[in-house]
Amino acid sequence: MGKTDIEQYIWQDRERFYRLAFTYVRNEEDALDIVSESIVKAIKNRKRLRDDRAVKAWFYSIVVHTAFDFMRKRNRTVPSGQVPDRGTEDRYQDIDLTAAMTYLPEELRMIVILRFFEDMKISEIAQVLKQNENTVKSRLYRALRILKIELTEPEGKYNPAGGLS
Amino acid sequence: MIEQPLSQWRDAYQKIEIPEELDMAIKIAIQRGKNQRPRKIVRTIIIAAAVAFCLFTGSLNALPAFASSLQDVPVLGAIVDVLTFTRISASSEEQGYDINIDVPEIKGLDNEELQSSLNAQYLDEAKQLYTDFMDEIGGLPDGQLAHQALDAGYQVKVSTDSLLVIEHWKVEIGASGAESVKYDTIDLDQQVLLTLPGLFTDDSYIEIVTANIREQMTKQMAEEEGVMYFMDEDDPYAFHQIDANQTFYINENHKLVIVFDEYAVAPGVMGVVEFTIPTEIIADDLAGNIYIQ
Repeated sequence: MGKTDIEQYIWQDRERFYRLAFTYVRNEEDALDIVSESIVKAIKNRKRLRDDRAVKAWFYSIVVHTAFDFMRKRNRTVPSGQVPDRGTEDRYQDIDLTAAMTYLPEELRMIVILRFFEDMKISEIAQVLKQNENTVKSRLYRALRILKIELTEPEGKYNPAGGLS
Repeated sequence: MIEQPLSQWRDAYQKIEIPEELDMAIKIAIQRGKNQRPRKIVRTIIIAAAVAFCLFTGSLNALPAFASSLQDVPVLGAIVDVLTFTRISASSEEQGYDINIDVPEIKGLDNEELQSSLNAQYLDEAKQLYTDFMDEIGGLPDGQLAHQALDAGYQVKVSTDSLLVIEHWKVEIGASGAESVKYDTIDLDQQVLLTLPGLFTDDSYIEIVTANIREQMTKQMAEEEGVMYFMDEDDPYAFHQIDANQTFYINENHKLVIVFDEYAVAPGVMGVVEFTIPTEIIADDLAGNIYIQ
């Protein structure tokens, strides 16, 4: 893939990458760092992308793993945040997106972002996270249980594998 | 129970505020990525030496001293390399500035005069950039954050057996950002630096190339969504004609490429823009057909 194609792809979807990183780390400065670092890595290693059609999964994978590395480094210095006590269901009444994310352990957070906010298929997420599809699926269910979404979608049962109906 | 939490969160996600710095951070990251590409070694060597060269390439990068010893081996000829001579950098969180300049150094040109004058020029320009930047920071009232950054560096844009094009890029970030580039196109056979007027017999190229660029701009705007150039004849800041010494380089395919800095002929979002000029329209005016074919 030519360098301008990758640059164009990055430029076109730049706000998506930022939102993804921001939602994961919940901090503007860190999110900017993650996006920047991912771009440097991608451009530098563009030759590793053999199939042009895979650019999306490839670049997301770089962003996601850069974000993971970032958290790993940060958790080494800051005591790792425990999953907050989820208390009663009432506590969810008005929680915003950022708060909702704090309820999720980091490994589940990224799956929720990719599935529901970036509208990726399970197979795509598996590719991006380099996990198998069953792991992704079971983690997604775990995340939904934590967020208690399957009980609360008014249109009926939420199908995590199929997306919003 | 929550009402439609997921769709609310999806909305909230879409509305996450995008910081102003994002665009510039991305441009810088793209440049940094390019800059960190595995360094290219430019060579003008005869075919017989090609195999030997392949064997040596790995160690060449690892051991600069080895590269110079290789030049004593006559069969290998000139190995021209572009290395980072030094990095000038300074930053202060308190005052809010950050400057990074990578200064290149060319090694291995037979024409040592050309080589040392280019290298001296690169260092001088970097020092000047640094001084100007720091002067501007120093001129601010005490306690006022500068919010200024400057990144500059280089990359080997084209390297063929007979041509070496070094790109010098610069990204300035103040209230807004601006990206600019310039190129040094070196003929490795003749060991000379090429100039745009020098490629042509007279200055009729200015009009011909300008007309072609205007044509390309019009076509792109009609065909591609989101493409926009400043072409309005009444607008003093729009594109009217190329400068006699307009930024240019010659690409791997021996085509002339004309380059404009960010904002020069298009909105900032278009970045630095390039136009490849079809050789047939300038063929009659070329001083020769060695470089451009």
